[in-house]
Amino acid sequence: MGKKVQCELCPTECILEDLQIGGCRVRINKGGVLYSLVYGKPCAVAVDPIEKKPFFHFLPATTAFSIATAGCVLGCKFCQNWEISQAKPEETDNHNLMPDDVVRQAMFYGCRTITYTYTEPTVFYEYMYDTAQIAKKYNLKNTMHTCGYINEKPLRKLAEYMNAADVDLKAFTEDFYSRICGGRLKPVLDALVVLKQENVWLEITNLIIPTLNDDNGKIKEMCQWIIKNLGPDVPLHFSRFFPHYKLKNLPPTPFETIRDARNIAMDAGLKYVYIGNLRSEAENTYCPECRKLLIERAGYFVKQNNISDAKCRFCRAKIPGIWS
Amino acid sequence: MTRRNFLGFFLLGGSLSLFGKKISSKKITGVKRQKWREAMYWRKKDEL
Repeated sequence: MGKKVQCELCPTECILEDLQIGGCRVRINKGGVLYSLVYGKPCAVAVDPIEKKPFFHFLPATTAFSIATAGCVLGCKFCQNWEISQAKPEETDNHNLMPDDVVRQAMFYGCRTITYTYTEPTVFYEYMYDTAQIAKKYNLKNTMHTCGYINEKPLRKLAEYMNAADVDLKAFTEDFYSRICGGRLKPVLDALVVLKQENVWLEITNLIIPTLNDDNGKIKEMCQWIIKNLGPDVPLHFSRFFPHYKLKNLPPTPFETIRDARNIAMDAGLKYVYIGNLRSEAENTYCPECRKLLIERAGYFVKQNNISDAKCRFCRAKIPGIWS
Repeated sequence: MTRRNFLGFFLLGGSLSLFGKKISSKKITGVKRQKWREAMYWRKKDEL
């Protein structure tokens, strides 16, 4: 009897011989059964402002109990957390923190949310799923920062417990995903649509890397796709690139490039477009109706919040998001 | 911290842990505390 198995979690769908480990580094075929090697073994545990994820339309000025394990489904050359995302679980310093421990710790630290982040949470799917289930029972919210490289079936099941997702839409070309990330664009777009259908609050992050994905035409195309498939209310965060990992030869993204991208997105019709990794007034939320300042931010900190009952305090326009 | 304070905290903590609501992953998810959790999405290649 053969003991080969096929993982069906992410679009890579690795076929594994007995004792072989998947491309994500954290799933092993042992005797014809696929196991997770990182269940209850986070290598990163922290209490962060929710704005750091980034979520700008989700419980502002609250904290998120954030966890990650080793491993990733992609291999982005610009990864900011490559020391853990591109590592095997035996190469990282891991905590022993089972799902009930995570919930207990989150409650102890007064966090409103548990966030699955830093690396790609898809790789620790079972750990995330079990934790999210318990968290929901104890009235904690669940959020994830993901690359969206996950198959439809597991994503729909997870969405039952996931309140919000920040999806990295890394570029709008298959070539970029293939050459720079080792993946494909299409499954990510499909995942975005699934999250929208499942009523998971969605925010999108796009890291702009000089010469690789800073083409204005492609940025416009991406924004038009977002509006057509997800709607104009989805917050879009353009993030500034800093040289990292295998892309140390490139310069940081010039301010003008990000400013132009933001203008393109707003001209296309997106209502909430932010700039990240760069201090500017584009960190703030403005009312699309009366243009008044709604949420003033300084980095990860909220200085003032003029949203009450999910509405603009000045003109009472409804502001999309999860505010309480 | 005096011995009396320490004893007070010790007894208070003990009482809270005895009477407080327990969070148990096994009770909620049906999953035992185990190191290697079976993955949720996979299939045997022979069955393809």
